[in-house]
Amino acid sequence: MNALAQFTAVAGLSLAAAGATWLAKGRPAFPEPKVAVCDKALIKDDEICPADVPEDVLWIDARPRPEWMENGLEGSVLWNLDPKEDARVFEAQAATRIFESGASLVVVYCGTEACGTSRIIADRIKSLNLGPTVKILFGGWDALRLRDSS
Amino acid sequence: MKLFLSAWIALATTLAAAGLKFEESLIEVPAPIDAETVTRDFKFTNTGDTTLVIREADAGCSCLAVQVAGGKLSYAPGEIGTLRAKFELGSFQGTVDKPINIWLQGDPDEKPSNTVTMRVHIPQIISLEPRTLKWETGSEPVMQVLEIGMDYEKPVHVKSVASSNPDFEVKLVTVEEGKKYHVEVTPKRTYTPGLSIIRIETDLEIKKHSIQQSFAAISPRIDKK
Repeated sequence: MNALAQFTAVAGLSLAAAGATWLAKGRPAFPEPKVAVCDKALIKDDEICPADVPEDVLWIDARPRPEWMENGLEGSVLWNLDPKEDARVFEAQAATRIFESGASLVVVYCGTEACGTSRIIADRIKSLNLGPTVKILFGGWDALRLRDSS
Repeated sequence: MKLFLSAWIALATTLAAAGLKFEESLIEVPAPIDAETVTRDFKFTNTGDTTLVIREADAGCSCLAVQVAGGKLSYAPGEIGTLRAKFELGSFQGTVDKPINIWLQGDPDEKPSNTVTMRVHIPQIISLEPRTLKWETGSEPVMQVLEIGMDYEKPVHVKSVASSNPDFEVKLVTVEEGKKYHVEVTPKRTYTPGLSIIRIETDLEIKKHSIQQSFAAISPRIDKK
């Protein structure tokens, strides 16, 4: 049997097996996000582990607007760095919510652990000097998804 | 056998340490005052012994577009490449650090092989100090001053000042025409909490920076234990 025929046979068998699995078990589940374990001793001073976030927190969602609209946390305030958005409006909305909620802790999250947007937003909130402590969620949205699914 | 094992571990360690080496891990970019975008190149070399494939390069922000020059993703040992980062300034002011993560083939999602940073310095033409004026409930409703400073080649005049909350009175005072202004802010009363957004409109020709805002807040008194 030549190489091409062997390849075709292997590929065909693999596809048939995959198809049978799909039919038997249904569509594959959405993959679990991979997030580094949050170790309080190792995270930066301005970060917080998902497990340590209290109930009465004000969330700031630093992801793009479509993602916030799709699955942003209930009560979260949108504030991202999209140049097409109005940064002044974000700032005013966040300041108003921080003031009205009386929250003592504001936590900013973006999409992933590697995303750096939440630190920029957190620094901006801190510069307003409105009162509450401002932290960045270690692991970002992926970590929240993992926490809520476990 | 021991010698073979040691040699194998040494080789594996060397290979693990090798990878893409960037000439600069941090590039500082002074942005021109009226620029819409700034672009910089991060040059890198494959210092390993095997071909490396870039799986993804991402800054996690729609404000920063990252591309590998020429769309080339595979790099043989010793080969040089360029990562091009284009930052859209929008209404940013001050210094902005944007990390760019680079994942190679085989990297776990949570741990990119490389991270480089583009630090953009955007001139702050209009400064406001402080950003939030504060009173406590029950305190004397005394006037406080918001200072406005202009740092631009031409004079910048404040056209108007307005408070979003009628419980705060604002009065514009010119300290030095086109250069320095004060906004005197006085709450009418302080027995209930309240927040005001103070909007400052100027004649700055760079429209995206011509309107600024600051805050005035009467916060609940926190009794010390």
